[in-house]
Amino acid sequence: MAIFGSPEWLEAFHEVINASKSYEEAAKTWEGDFYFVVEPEGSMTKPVYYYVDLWHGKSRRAFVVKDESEMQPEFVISAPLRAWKKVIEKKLDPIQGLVMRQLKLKGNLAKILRAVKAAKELVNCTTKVPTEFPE
Amino acid sequence: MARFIIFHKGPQEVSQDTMVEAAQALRRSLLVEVKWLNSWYVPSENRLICEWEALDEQTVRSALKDVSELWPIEVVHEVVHVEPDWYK
Repeated sequence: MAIFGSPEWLEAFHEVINASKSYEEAAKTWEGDFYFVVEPEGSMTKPVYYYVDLWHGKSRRAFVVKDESEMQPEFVISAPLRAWKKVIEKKLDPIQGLVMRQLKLKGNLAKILRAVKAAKELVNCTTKVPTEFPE
Repeated sequence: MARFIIFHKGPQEVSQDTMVEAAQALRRSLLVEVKWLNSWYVPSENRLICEWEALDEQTVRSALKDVSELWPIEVVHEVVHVEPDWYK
């Protein structure tokens, strides 16, 4: 079990993505890297920056950055912990979350909207990571 | 009131703030004789399909004037609603 927000969780997510045939197929033309930013809540005291470089159905690199300025990804998606929990538990569709601005996006929304299948498969990957959420 | 299905071409590039704020402004601007019922985005075609209720086509086109640059109208169809429950 990995705690969401930890480097171990991101490492497991990276491995699940690269083992997923359905993500590979859905995202075969996708090129774009992300910061997934977990805004602190509860016992969390500072934001977590997950950097994930997604390329043609694979995760090329995934690591936690300490300083936001370390990388300049094409997309930054930020949300409080409770919103990410809803996404991972499939209670919030990520595309609807973006359109409603429950997940805040920096970057071209139109490019993400066109990749809805890849987004759904990415969420499916998160559900395969045994996850514990911080209190 | 008549019902309309409207097909919009989606933008190639748009920020989240631009899109959400345009939708919020549209919603705030609506008069009583026009109602935005729902919308469906078609990722494979980058199109938005919206269902409206309005007095006539001109009313709904006028309501959409301010978002027509972001989501240009391709076609407006006046439609007849069919309810699956009628066939229970």
